[in-house]
Formats: sequence, structure tokens, C-alpha cells
Amino acid sequence: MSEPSHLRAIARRPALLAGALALLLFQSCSDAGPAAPVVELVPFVTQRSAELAARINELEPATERPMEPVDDLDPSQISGLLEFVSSSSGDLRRAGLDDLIALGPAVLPLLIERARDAELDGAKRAAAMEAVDHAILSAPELHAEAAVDLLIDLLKTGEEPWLRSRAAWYLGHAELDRCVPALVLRLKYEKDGETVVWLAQALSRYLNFAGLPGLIAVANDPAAPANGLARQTASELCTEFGFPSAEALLQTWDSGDPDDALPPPSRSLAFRAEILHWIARLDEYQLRGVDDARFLFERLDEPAASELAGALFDESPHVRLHAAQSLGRMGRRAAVAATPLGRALALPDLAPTAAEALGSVGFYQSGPELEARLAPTEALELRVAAARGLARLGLADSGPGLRAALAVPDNPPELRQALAEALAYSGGGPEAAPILLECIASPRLEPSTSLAALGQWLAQTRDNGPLHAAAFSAWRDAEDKPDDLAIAVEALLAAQP
Amino acid sequence: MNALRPVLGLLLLGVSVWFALGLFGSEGSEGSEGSEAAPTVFTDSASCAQCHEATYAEWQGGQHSTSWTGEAVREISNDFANQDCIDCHAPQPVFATGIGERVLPRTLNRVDGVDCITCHALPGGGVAASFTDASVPCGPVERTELISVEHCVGCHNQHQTVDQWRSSRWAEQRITCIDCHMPYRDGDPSKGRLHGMHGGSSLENLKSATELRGASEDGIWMLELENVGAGHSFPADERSRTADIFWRPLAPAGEEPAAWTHLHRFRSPYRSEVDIPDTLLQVHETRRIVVQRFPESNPGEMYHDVELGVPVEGPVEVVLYYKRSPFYLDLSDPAAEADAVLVHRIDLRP
Repeated sequence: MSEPSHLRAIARRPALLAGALALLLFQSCSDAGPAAPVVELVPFVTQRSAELAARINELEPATERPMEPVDDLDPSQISGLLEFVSSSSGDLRRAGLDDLIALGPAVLPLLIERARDAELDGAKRAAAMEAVDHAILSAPELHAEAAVDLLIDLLKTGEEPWLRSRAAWYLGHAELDRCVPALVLRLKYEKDGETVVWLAQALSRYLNFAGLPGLIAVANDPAAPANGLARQTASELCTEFGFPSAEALLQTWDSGDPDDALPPPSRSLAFRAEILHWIARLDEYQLRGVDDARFLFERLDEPAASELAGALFDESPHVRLHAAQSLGRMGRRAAVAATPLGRALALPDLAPTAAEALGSVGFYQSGPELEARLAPTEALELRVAAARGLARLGLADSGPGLRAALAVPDNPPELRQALAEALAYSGGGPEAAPILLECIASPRLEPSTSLAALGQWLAQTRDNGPLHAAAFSAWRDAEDKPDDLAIAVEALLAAQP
Repeated sequence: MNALRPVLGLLLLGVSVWFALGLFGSEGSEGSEGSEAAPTVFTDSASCAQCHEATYAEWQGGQHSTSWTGEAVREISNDFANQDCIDCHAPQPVFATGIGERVLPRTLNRVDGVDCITCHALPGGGVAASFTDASVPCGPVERTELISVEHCVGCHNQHQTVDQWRSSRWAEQRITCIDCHMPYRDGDPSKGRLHGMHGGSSLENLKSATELRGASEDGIWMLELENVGAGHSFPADERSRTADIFWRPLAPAGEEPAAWTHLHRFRSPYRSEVDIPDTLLQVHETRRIVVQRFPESNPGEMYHDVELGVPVEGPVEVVLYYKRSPFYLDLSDPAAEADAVLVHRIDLRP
């Protein structure tokens, strides 16, 4: 293999030898200097889980969590009390509920069993569920732990929607935030509108607003049976948290609450242990568990993000990569992970995913860090990912760096595309547009991302005149009339000064 | 200063020699130590096409090549806004993530889907093949894992397809994935294996996977669909794939036939479809289905309550359609669906 000709030329010209000498001396000094930081991989999930378990044992001594019915409970006594509660109201009903929970936490599994029993009278089943809630509210220190486990199981496996609705509602009362992951995950599978509303309501009590998209959908659907409940719940949440609309509340939460409009979530050790359990699932062979974990993390916030940030340096490549993905999907709620994600750029297998995630978490100081990864000396995969990260950041300050990277001759098409998309998001729409049109038309490139980048610029400028409006209109119809988009954008660009 | 000139001159000369050796001498010295050039790192399948044009064309005609660009996957994944789909639809090289390990998503060249690089690229460069030959440009290295079942499991056992095979008599007979999905070209081992990876995309495969029979039992038309040839369930457990049985009265010659009636669906639901049963025809299973008419109250219903059905009498025509997406615009006219493939058709006459 021959050396590049420009190096041979340098070596042959004595006048340049002094420069070469300086370069070599500099290099030798660099070699002797401090080495680049080495990122150490650790069995994070194992270590952190053990650490949390120890702290939980130390700070929160295990409470009694009887899951099995105790033999000395008389089933006929429970039946009699349920009969009494279901046929009473007011103070008498309350007295019956008190008598039921006076049987102790061991009665809870039996109550859930009765509630599930479709053969039993509906009023008695409802009374059994009410008794569980009464136990949580009136003597949480005695009942809440056991009730939460039972209600989580009911939420997952209850066949009738009313059971799942009640389970969600009561979990909101439990004030044990370890149930948050179960509530969030249920959002993935729940089909019943009323349960969706109660999930949103319960989650909001833990300052998690992942249920709001479902709540808003039901509230906006006049034909939905739970429409009235959804609208009322949305209104109550807006009043409670001081927002004009559920959409505004959701937007604030999703943006990482930069103005501290919401109370900061404070999570227990038990919640963190639950998060560790889900991080461990990222290593599973079956994607079913991995997908559930990714769904969950996408809808959590800072305390979960801080645990995931540690998992970026786990020994398992699957855990590392999916932790970075999850932080990226969490978006600005994971801003706390920006620094660890920056460190993760030193891991070759993780760097591209970390670079994209850095953009998603939206930490503006990550801009220069990502721009540095656009250098031609970096791996192509990382350069592309860094450009995608910059696209997500959309910082005007990145414009010069992106233009310089685009000016590098013979950029691979995928890099050119990512750079053009980033430029469009960073205020360089007119310069990026011709490249984006090429990318949309290329069968070798993913068109949807370029279409979105172009659309973002056109949406921002659609009020600037008839050509802008026409181009934006063509973009909206691009799926049906792709050629019209190119014509309209080219006409717009031709008219630019 | 003049006194230092010889010293500086010597220093400069020494550095020059060192620098020149660094630039020009490294190759020779490495060569003298017998080191080999690093294997080429291939990053996209287009580079493979330069020499393997026919194989590349086979791959382009198969489903692996459209795992990112296919119409159905674009629709179902919402243009991959559902990022969970990326893991298997644009995976990193299997040899890099580990044979038998779950695959991980890649960043580049996603439009190529499951491509040459996915199966053949080795970590650190070079390609895996069924033989070693250092004389050709890509320098293939023999790796027997390439043709093993373990090579496919990272993606294809996510829905237990490989486990289904493991529990079958095909596994006992060591008839593996590639025997059906990568047969030898023209049946000749010297010509290598086809790279189209055809399964449901091949009518021949579909026909040989199942057998549709029907007979009258006590005056009732009883159908049987038997999984006779698939090494896994039918359809394979890709949740968008469906097979559906339809029937209609057999029209007398010259008369317009009546509309089709949907009878039974074979499909595994998506995880979010918690209210839909798994009705895949398992490996070696025979499913018995009564030809019946269902109440009109649930038009479009794919999963019928057999308790509500009324057995059909008289001559009937029965068809089995295979489809890559689970949606029918008009169940009374399955042939009108662009991606519906007629697999079997039988007439039942008293």
C-alpha cells in the first residue's frame, strides 16, 4: 500500500521538515501526556440492585405482606360482612368496611378473590373492592404494601374493565410509588376508555403525566362512553396543577418542566428498585420484555433517568444500548443524563446511540460535543448519529459547524442527509432544502426524516408569502403528490433573494 | 549560535531519517515480520453486488431486502416511528452481536433492511462464507454458523418460530431453516444456495406448507387444514401475516357465483391486541372447521363464535388465502386484495 502523495511531498521538502519536527514533537508529547479517559464497564444492574436492597432493608424494614389467605379467617364471616356492606350506606356501610379490614391484611387476597368472582352478586363484588380501598386509606401502614401487590396483579389480569378501573384508581390512593411502572405499562395494553382515564388520574397523583395522551383522546371523543369522566378528570387535573389545559400540562411535563411549574417528583428506594428490575429486563432475549421496558422508560422522568444513566456503563451491550435508547425516547425529561451520555460517546459500540440520545434529551451544552463528532476522522456511524443528535437539538449555533461538515467533499449520502436535516432544524432551511429534496427522492435513503425536516421549515415560514404557503401545502399533500412538493419548493427557492 | 549549527544539523538529519523511515519504511518492516493486511470492512450491500450480481438480485427479490422499505412494514410501524421494530428490521451484523444472541438495531443503511452485511460481515472486517478463499477480493472465511439455525434465531425466535421447529419432527430429521428457505440453485449444491429467503412470498412454499381437505360428516361439511410442510406454525408467527378460509355456494355452470363468506382466520395477534385469540396452525397440527354461516350482526368479524354458526348444506367452494397484512377491505371479495394470495381451492359436492 503506498503512502498518500501529499505525505510523500511533505517528506521530500526540507523546508517543511521543521514543521514535521514540531508535529512529531507535539505528537510525542501528546503520547506521553494523560491518556484519553477510559470508560470502565461494570455489572451496574447487579451492583445497584444489591445496593438498593441493602438500603431498603436498612431504612425501610420489611413490612408484613401476606399474599396467602390465613386459615383462621372464616369465609362465612367475610361473606356476611360483604352482604352487610353491600346492603348498607353511610355510617353503617363504613362500620362494615371497618369490620372487614379489622380482620387484618390477610383478608385482602380474599377480598380480591371475591371481587374477581363473576358468579357473585355485583354489589358484593363492588363492596369487596371498596374494602380494599378502605384498607389503604384508613390504615395504610398496615395494608398498603399488600394491597398494592394485589391491585397491580388485578390491573394486569382483571378480565372485566371495572376491576381494572378500580385497581388503577385505588393504586393512586396507595401513595406507594413503586406501583408507577405497573400503571404506566398498563397504558400500553389497556383498551377500556374509563380505565385509561383512571390510569391517568392515578399516575398524576405520583406526578407522572404519561396517562394524559390517553385521557385527552377520550376527552376529545364525544362518542367515547367515558368522555364525560375524561373531561371532568382533565379539568380537575388542570385546576390542581394550575394549567389552562391538559395539553399544556402534558407539554410542560414532556419538555422537562424547564420553569419548575410542577412539583419535582421524589421517588422512593422501592421505586428505584423497581426501575432496576426493568433495566435488567433490557438484557432479556425476548424483545417482548425489552419492548415493555422501553415503553415504560419512555414515559418516566428524572429519577428513572438517573438510574438508566448508570446502566449506560453496564457490562451487557444490550443493557447499554437500550438504556441509551430509552433515555433518548424519554427526551427532555432525561436531561439529567446529558453528562453520562457525553461520557458514553467514548464507548465505540454505544457512541452512535448515545449521540442521538444526547440530542433528544435536549441539553444545549451538548451541541459542541456533538459537532466535534462530525469530524471526518470519526467513524461514519458516529458522524451520522451526531448529525441526527444535532437535528434534535436544533440549535442555531450549530449552523456554522453543520455547513462546514456539509462542505466536506464526497460525504456519504447518509451523512449528507443527516447534516442537511440538522441544518434545516438549526435555521438553515433554504440551504438544506435542495439536499432534502434529493434525499426524499433517493431510493437509497430513508425519506420520512427528510420530509419531516423539510416540513418543519416550511411550517415555520408558511405565512411569509404565497410561495411559502404553496410549498407548505404541497408538503402536506406530498404522500399523494410527491412531484408537486419538489416543484413548489424549487419555485420557492428560486424566488429567494 | 554558529557552534550549535552542526549539532542542530545532525539533529535535523536524524529527525529527517526517522521521519522518512516512519513514512516509507513501515510497510517493509511489517512485511518482513509476516503480518497480514487487515480484512476489508464492508459497510453496505451495494459493494457486494459488484462481484455477486446474481446473488444480490436474488436477495433484492426476497423479503429480507424489503424489511425496511416494504409497504406493509412502513404502514404498521408508522414509518418506523415505532422504533421497537428497528431491532429486527435493520439489525447490526449477527456475527457482531453474537450468534444466537438477540440482534441490536444499526444506525446506517437501514433502507437495506436485512442485507448481506447483516449475515456475512464479521467483526473487525472480512466476510463469513461457506468456504475460505484469500484470493478473492472479499477474502471469505468459512464459518459454519452461517448455515446454522442459531444464525436465524436472533430475529426469528422472537415469536418462537425456531422453538416451534425445535419441537417438530423436522428438527429430529435435521431439516433446518436453510433447507426450505435457502435451497440449492437448481437443486445442485455446486451452484450454491438461493438468497431470496422465500417463505410466504413463494406460492410453491405456501402450497407445500398446508393441505386443505373437506368431506361430509353426517351431512355437515367438515374441513381440515393440516400443516404438512412448514417447519413452524402456519403462517409463521409474524403477526401481520394471516391465512383465511372463505367459502361460497358452488355456482352452477354459467351463473354468477355468490359472494364469499369468511370462515376462519389463522393468525397470532400483536401484543396490544389483547382481545384477539392466537389461531396459528401449529407445526404438524390439523385444524377441523365446520363450513358454516354466521349471523350478519358482526360483519367484518374475523374470529367467529362457532356456537352461533349454522352449518351449510349443498355444494360449496372453499378457498385458503394467505396475506402479508391482516386487513381486508372487503371480506366478500378476498381476491380483490392486492396482497392476498390464493393458496388452495377445493370444491365440495354432496
